[in-house]
Amino acid sequence: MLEIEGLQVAYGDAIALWDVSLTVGERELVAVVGPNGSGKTTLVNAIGGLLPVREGRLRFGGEDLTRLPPHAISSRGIAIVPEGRRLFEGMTVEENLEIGCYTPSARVARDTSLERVYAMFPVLRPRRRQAAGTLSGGEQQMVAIGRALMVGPRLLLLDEPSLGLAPAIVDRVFQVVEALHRAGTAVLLVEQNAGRALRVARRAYVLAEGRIVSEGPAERLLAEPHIRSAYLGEL
Amino acid sequence: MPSFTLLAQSVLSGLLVGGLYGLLGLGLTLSWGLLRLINLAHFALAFLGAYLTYTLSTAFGLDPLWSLVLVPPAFFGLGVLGQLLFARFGVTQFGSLLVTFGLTVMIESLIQWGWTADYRRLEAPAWTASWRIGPLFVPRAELLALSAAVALAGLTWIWLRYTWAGKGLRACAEDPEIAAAFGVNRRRLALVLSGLGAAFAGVAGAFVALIYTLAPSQIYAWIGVVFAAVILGGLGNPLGPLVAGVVIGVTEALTMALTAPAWAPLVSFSLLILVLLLRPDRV
Amino acid sequence: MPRLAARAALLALGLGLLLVPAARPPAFYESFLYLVFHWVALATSWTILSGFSGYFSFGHGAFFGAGVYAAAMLLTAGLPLLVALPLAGLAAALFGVGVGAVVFRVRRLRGELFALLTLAVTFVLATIVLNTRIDGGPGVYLNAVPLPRIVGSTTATLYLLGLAVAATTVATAYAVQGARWGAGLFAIHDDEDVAEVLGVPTYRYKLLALGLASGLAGVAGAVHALFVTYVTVAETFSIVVPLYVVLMSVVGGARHWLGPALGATLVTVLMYGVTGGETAVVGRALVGLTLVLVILFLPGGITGRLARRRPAPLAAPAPAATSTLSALAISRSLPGPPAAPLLVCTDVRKAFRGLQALGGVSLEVREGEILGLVGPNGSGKSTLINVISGHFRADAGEIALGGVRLGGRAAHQIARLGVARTYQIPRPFAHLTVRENVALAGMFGRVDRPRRTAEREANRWLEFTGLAQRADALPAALNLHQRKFLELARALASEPRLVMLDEVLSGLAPGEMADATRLVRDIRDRGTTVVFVEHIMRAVMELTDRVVVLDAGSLIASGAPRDVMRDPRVVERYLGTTHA
Repeated sequence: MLEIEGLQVAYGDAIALWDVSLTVGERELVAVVGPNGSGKTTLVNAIGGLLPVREGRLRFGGEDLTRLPPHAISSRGIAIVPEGRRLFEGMTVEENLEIGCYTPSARVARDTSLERVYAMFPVLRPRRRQAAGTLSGGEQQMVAIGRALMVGPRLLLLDEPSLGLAPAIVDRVFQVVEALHRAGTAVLLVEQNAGRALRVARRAYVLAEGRIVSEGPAERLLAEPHIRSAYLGEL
Repeated sequence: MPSFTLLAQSVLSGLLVGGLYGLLGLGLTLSWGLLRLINLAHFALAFLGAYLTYTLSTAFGLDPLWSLVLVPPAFFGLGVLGQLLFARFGVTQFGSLLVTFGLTVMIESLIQWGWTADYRRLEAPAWTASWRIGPLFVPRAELLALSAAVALAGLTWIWLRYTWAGKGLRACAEDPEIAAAFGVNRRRLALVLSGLGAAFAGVAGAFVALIYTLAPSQIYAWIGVVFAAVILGGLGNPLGPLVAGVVIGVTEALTMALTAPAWAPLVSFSLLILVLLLRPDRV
Repeated sequence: MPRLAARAALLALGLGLLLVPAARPPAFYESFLYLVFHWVALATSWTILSGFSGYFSFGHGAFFGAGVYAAAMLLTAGLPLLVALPLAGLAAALFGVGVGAVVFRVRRLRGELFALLTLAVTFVLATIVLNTRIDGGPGVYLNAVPLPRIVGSTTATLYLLGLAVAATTVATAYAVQGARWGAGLFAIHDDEDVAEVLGVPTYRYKLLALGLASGLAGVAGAVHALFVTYVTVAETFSIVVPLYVVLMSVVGGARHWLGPALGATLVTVLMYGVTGGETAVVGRALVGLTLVLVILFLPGGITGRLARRRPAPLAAPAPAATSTLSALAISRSLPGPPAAPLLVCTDVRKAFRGLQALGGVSLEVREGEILGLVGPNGSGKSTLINVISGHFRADAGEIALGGVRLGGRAAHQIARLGVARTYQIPRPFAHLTVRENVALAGMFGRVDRPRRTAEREANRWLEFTGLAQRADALPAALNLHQRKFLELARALASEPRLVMLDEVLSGLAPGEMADATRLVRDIRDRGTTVVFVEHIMRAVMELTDRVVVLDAGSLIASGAPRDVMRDPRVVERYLGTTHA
């Protein structure tokens, strides 16, 4: 469903991703793990249309998305849960969620989508009129995921959902991710915390210094030396 | 100690002039708060609207109310054009301050070329009359200006709060990148907002023509106090300049009544200085 | 235009202007030229603070007005001309310093806010002057003040006074631009935080610049009071002065000592030179249009455009890089086993809005070592660097360099004690050339250096980092690799005892990384202690003598690189919770 081929992304003249190729099939949960600075967020932002692509192709559901402007991406069914949440802190929880279904096609389903999100994250319902900036880290992560769900996405991009959260909250977040996957949404999970990510994903890639250094079934990767050296250096 | 009537009249005058501050500050706070553009030319535009109102009334005999119908839509177009200019050249927040100052001078020159520097007063007896409430005088035009300010600020507030466009704009103001990722087309919204701001300037100008004597140099007289109202009221909040404007207006009027008239400006500017020193992140 | 010819031309111009009254022209011409001088003085004095440092003040009218009214009061009280004028300037300068002392203390005061604040100050002063005995309303008459008649007319006297003030102001701007102080102001313009961290005393410099700017404006105001002979609040404090001063400087080029003079001349000619009826308005409109066009197309103003046309002087031929290394080595023996601690952090804490970024970190950096500082995202590495360099103040704990306490000191003082740092995303001074960037660090680093010396020394640092060929280029023309090396050269030019490198390898291609790694080792071998923050583990293993691991604001391990990265706690934090 998502096919990326030979992607090269740069910030000015600093090349952050070199020749990255990966795929995410329908209803798959694929993880991309790697140490800090390896280019994971760059990858997510490139797929989400927030960064221009220097070289390579990005195809989604057969359509070439490489040169589309950012505001056209969500209408194709790709929703992003950005690193650090990036909620609209001055707006209420409900307004944040509503931005999720801003595109005309998603707007019509506003009420049902909201209900779905509140059902999945009951803790948000009593806080719907609260300013998003006043919520705790874990609650904000719920809002960020809920906002992406409001798009009615076919592919969900999660960028480091465990960042800055207490372990118990991280558990909850990963439970949600698994539930979404079971319900049929394709997920691309990008994580620094390889242990967690490789437990929920079936298939994974290891990204280091802007390149894919390894790929395959999740359990096998965890035991491989590649991943340890990527994170911890040659030992 | 001045009489009660005098004090009450002062408070009333302050309230009414506060409405005009709110009307003038509306467009300014929207573009500064939501688009990060400081539009100094807003004042010159308002005065252009004032002069147009004057001409429509004196030269064509149209009731000033017609200006409210004709001028704002035309100005909407000007606002859109202005925004296209800013977007095309990628003007920064600070750059916008300087560019709009240049535009101010240009518009002021245009006004002077068209209407000379002579004082112009719109004679419209129906509008310059006052109603009476007990011993107090309520000038008709000023009350109308206040009502217009309340109506427009309120409608804008509702628009920003409850419509999709409004929510999109507020999201853009906080995080334009992520807003775009969810489908918000910042470029189009910015055009609409700029047009709206310019239209509001036109409305404000019409009332200025009804209430005050016009001269090109008068453009600059309002800059200071309206900026104070905008900053004190909180950037991006349509009701801000109105509320802050009323507070400033009433305080100024009371200062004038209780001490000497000329001390009045001290109020708004001292407040402004304090806010900027103590809470610069609010802005 | 070659330097000598330009200077000769200016001198000739000055002389010519001086002799104008002797030719007894009609009073109109002298008055017109006086106005030109008046605006040249105002615009140039404005640029000394605002153009050079980037703090655009919209309050120049306040200082001008302070000078006007101070002079009015002193002159009507009977003081002689040559006493009253400088005193008026002094009054304005003191007022300016007073305002600056308060305003510059506000952290993160953005450009627009400073502009508005200074504008507000003008209105406040105007109101006070209007309501007190200083003016009181009716204005102040000065036609009774006796003016010496040079060559038989008072107009000539005023002309010469105006010329004197203008010439003094322009000469002052020239002097400031060429001095260390000016270099500091230009650095503040591009990146104040980095300037501070490199040792520039930003608060002091800005304050002094404001004092000078306001003092000169005050003297110009004093002379103007004599010119107009009738002084009112409305005219003096009108919004025209502050706004036109900005306009003239921006048009002419606010970063150059001659720019405002050019702009002032051009605008004054457009405004007043075209007299009578319709055309005067056209002149005003053209002025507005000029400002708009300049902002959109010519951000550097006229002088900015002219400066770019000048071909860059030929770069000195670069000798082989290797030979210079030995020349730069300080006589310090390579460290043997456990050297003395150079930097000691004891229980350092820092929190931001409830988030504890550093929760009691204690570590030491030994003299002459390369210490690796690693840890997952959000572990507090950057915060620690920022606290040590003085960008943030620690909430608790002690930091000492060679026994001297760093805590509580301003960042520029810490830089003078010998601490330098680089930034992960390079932050060069965008409007300064590569050489000027490095020279700046040399001027304000651990050793005080005059400007010329620092510029010479800069060449050697550029050779060390291989940037000698690009010494006259602007940072924007460099690629990432070169910009990172510029960061390094700049950090080293301040001759620090300790340099902290923040992810210096990120974004580099493998070949470039090898270069950078070698350079880091060279830096240590020269005798500078290095703290090396990095994610790329290969490099950490290769380079560092010891490694310290931070996680969620706490130190969880320290020791030899291989031992630390095998420590099960570290493995767990990096790879994520449990697996075989």
